Amino acid sequence: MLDNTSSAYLTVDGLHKSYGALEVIKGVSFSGTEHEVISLIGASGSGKSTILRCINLLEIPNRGEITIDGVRLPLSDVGTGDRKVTDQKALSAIRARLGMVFQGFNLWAHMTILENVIEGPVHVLGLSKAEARGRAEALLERVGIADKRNNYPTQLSGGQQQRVAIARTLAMDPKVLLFDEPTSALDPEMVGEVLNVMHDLADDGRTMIVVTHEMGFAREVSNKAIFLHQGRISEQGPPDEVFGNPQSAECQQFLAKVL
Amino acid sequence: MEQINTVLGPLSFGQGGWGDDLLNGALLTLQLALCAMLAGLVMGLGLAGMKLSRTRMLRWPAAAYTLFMRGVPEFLILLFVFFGSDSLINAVATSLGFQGGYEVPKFMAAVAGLSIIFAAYACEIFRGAYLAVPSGQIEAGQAIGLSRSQVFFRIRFPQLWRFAIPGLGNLWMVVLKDTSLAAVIALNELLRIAKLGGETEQSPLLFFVAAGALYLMMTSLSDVVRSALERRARRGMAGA
Ligand SMILES: Nc1ncnc2c1ncn2[C@@H]1O[C@H](COP(=O)(O)OP(=O)(O)OP(=O)(O)O)[C@@H](O)[C@H]1O
Ligand SMILES: [Mg+2]
Repeated sequence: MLDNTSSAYLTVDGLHKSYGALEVIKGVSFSGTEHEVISLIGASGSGKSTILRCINLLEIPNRGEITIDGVRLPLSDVGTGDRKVTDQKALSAIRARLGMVFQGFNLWAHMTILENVIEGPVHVLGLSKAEARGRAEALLERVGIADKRNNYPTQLSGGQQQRVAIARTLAMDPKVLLFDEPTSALDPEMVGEVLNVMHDLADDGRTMIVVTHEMGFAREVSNKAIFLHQGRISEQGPPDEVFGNPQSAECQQFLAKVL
Repeated sequence: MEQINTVLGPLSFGQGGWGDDLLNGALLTLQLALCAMLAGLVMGLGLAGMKLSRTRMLRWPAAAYTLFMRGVPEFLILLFVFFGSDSLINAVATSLGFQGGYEVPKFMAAVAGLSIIFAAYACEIFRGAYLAVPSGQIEAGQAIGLSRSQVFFRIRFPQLWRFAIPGLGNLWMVVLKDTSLAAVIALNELLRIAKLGGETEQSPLLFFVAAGALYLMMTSLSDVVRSALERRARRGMAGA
């Protein structure tokens, strides 16, 4: 890749998350460098979504630190119980730098495709409408849906909606892209079009964390694979090793089931 | 023809006819309903905000209010406001050292009475609509860095109407008809005029039918407006 600094760009250190008495993430640490694509795999309920959601603070971790490009997420120190976001402005700024693509697309139903894509640039980054529109149109072109710009989300197929959601995220020019099973809600014939877009992004050197059940994609595109088992990392490394020569019994079982 | 004229005569316009009085009554009914609905909507939004708040001190007064207002007959609350508002104001005035003898204008009392009831219903409608906006869309807003107020005003609020308008449309119909309860304080809304006319002309049925027709005209017109608003609020939704 570009200048291959091996210093960590994103670190997750000692992450714990509980819902009530149920501990879902039991101490997860990993790091990634710039331009790296990390795939997060594991059985349903192993905590993949929860980790992604902690990274952009849609969920507040109970313990642990997350640092992105040298900036620590603004969380109060571990004290007696509830941790709080200490600085809403800093939180917004960090979220604006982290793009999240959801399984269910989550496009804003009352806005046209174009409005969906310019919303963040105009209202978070403070771009002028004209400037944002120019960027949005280029991005929609890139994901192949420029002709739908004046349609509403429900008038698009799932694959098209997900590509809009990716364009909406890219419009913020995020430093890290988080994908949470972006193709799981799609009809099989639409999976390819979304994976192609993601493939391009990886080729562009985007830093990405991808939760996916598309093992072929994970193996081919990512630089690092992390296998999660019951809230802990039970295996991580280059995809060829994790997929080709898994060490732990649970990873072997999981791969035997999904491959 | 002549027969029809003699039967409908009392409803004619101008000298000796009640036509213009009935229309004026209908107009007052409409004004009363509009004011009550508007005030009720504003209060309802506020109450919904309180009910959805994280602060218990805001939540429970709103909960108690809506429980009470919806749990007691509307007519009772109206009587209470109609006849209690004067005494209340005078009590406050005298305690502040002013002279008593104030009278709350009837129209104001009617608006106040109706709107405090409908605020409670509007509150429930808004609360439901607030919660009906898909949480994924809210998260998408947060994830992109929108602030809390931006998430509310740019994503939640514009979509609220899609879920609230059907319920508010119903509520409006009820408000429009409940204005007739203000007849007890001798406010000259449609039903009171009809009753007066019917008694004076000694043909109550004719006047009640006429009033019914006017109510029906107003409610049907409202329905047209409601579907237009609903269509607008559902712009871009499947099936719209
Ligand atoms: N808001 C919540 N409240 C309570 N429990 C939750 C909540 N969100 C997730 N969980 C639980 O946390 C665990 C991990 O959930 P998570 O969604 O992270 O799993 P996942 O690995 O993403 O699974 P999937 O592949 O099905 O998406 C599950 O047992 C789930 O039931
Ligand atoms: Mg998940």
